[in-house]
Amino acid sequence: VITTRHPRLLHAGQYAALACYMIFLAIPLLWLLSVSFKGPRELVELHPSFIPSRPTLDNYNIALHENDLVHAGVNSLKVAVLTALVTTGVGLPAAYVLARTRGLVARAGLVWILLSQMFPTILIIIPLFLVLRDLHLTNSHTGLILVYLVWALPFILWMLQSYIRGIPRDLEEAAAVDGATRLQIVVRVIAPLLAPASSSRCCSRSSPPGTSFSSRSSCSRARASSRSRSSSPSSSESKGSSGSDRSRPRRCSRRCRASCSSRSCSAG
Amino acid sequence: MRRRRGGGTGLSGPETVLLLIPALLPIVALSIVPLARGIYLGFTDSHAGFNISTHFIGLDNFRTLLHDSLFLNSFKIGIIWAVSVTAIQFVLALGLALLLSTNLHGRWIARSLALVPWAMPPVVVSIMWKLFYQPQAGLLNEALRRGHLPGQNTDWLSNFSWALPAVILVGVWAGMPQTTVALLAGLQAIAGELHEAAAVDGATTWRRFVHITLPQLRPVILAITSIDFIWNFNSFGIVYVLTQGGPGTSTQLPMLFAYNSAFKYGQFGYASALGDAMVVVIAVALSFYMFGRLRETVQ
Repeated sequence: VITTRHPRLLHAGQYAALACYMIFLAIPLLWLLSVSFKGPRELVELHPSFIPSRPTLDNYNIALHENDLVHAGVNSLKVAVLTALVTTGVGLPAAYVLARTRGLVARAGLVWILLSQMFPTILIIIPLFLVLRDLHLTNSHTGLILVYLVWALPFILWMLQSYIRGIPRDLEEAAAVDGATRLQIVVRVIAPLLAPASSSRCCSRSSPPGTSFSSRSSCSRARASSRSRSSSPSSSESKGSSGSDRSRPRRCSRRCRASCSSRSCSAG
Repeated sequence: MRRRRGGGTGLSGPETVLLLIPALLPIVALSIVPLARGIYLGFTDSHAGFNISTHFIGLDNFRTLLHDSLFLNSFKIGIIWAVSVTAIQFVLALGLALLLSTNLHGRWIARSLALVPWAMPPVVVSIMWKLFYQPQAGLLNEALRRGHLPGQNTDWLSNFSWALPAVILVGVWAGMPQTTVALLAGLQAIAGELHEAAAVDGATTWRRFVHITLPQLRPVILAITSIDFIWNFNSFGIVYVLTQGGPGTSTQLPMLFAYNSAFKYGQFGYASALGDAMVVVIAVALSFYMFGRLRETVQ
């Protein structure tokens, strides 16, 4: 797509810039790694080297055995997994409401998500501590999970509702025709469709293109829906372009976009 | 089953309530109620300790705040920190997002690298950069020594003029992921046809960037910079571990000041008043975002 008068110069510049970014992002991490293999003597030497002159595993030994890192890690894992499960379970129905309604409730919910981000921790941490103390939940995993739940809910709600917006309503309508209740729709239709999106959101961004098709397509679906609001003339002609040299995810996003816009046309 | 209007709801009242209850209960009990109590604490003389009764004292805390030079100083530093971190972060992240959206070789390495800070807790980030900045055994001074550059013996985090810039750099590094990801998603949502059409008309890369990419990205830019500003203004962990507000008070952000008031001196009421004051500043930043959104919907 990119055309310029000096393509080679531009390319060289781009690679140089990318290299600078990589250095900026990676150097502190590499230094952390390097220091972790250094003994106490080498740590205070005046002329440190990037590659440890006398590499040692003592630091890891101390962390693992004397400081009981494994136990702490298991605690963290337990709290993190439970928080993720509870937050998604609790947040999914609410996110569905936020995505599928436009009334006062949905607007209030979106405003709350924004507002909750603006309050400084100091305002909430003191009263929250008092509440947890009254419930005898301080110094317990349950208390910690509750605190994390409150912390993570706004973000989860925001992410989930934007993904749900990307799911065509036709699917829900089909389920409703078959006699499904609203709760069944959320659990049986929406949740399975969101599973790849919510679990591999991060992976899909970091992995090389083409390795995870399902998550890519769900991402592009979310994107397509956000675009379908502004009526783009290009989306109507895309139905005929399936034979072109477009890559697969791209084609899917266009297909979804076409279906979205045709739906909004017939509805309006 | 077609809805009459595109935005109409298919949900009945009881259904909505049923679906909202699981999320609403924890939100009200653990977020809204404590928050309201926290805001109220700012108008009281609440102190840490047993058997101390709390009195409503109106605006007294805020009057004290206005004459507290330490507080005013911390607010100034907080603004400098939040504005510079947000601005630098935005420029760097935009550049990185633009590079990642091209088809350069090896960009997946940069993609993965750009996400790493996201997975790191602020405390670990700070410890890592402390090792980097260390005056004798740190990488930065060693690199300066090898390059025969000035400043090789600077203790970056204890130097009155360098502590704040050094801390800002760490803030930028730690905040790169969410800004880059948001901008990258925004870039990928721009229809390729627009660029193709402009290229056919003979627009240069730069002109396409100014006249297509930036206007199309506007909503994303607005959203992510407002949120970045709010997060940075409220940030605590990174600076607390790096300098604890020192040397002197040269990196004492408002949150650090509030933390000290609350947990060092036990002045819960005063600290909450400070939190209230911070909310006002953030509300101003947020209103910029709202105003921008409003203008878009009008257009």
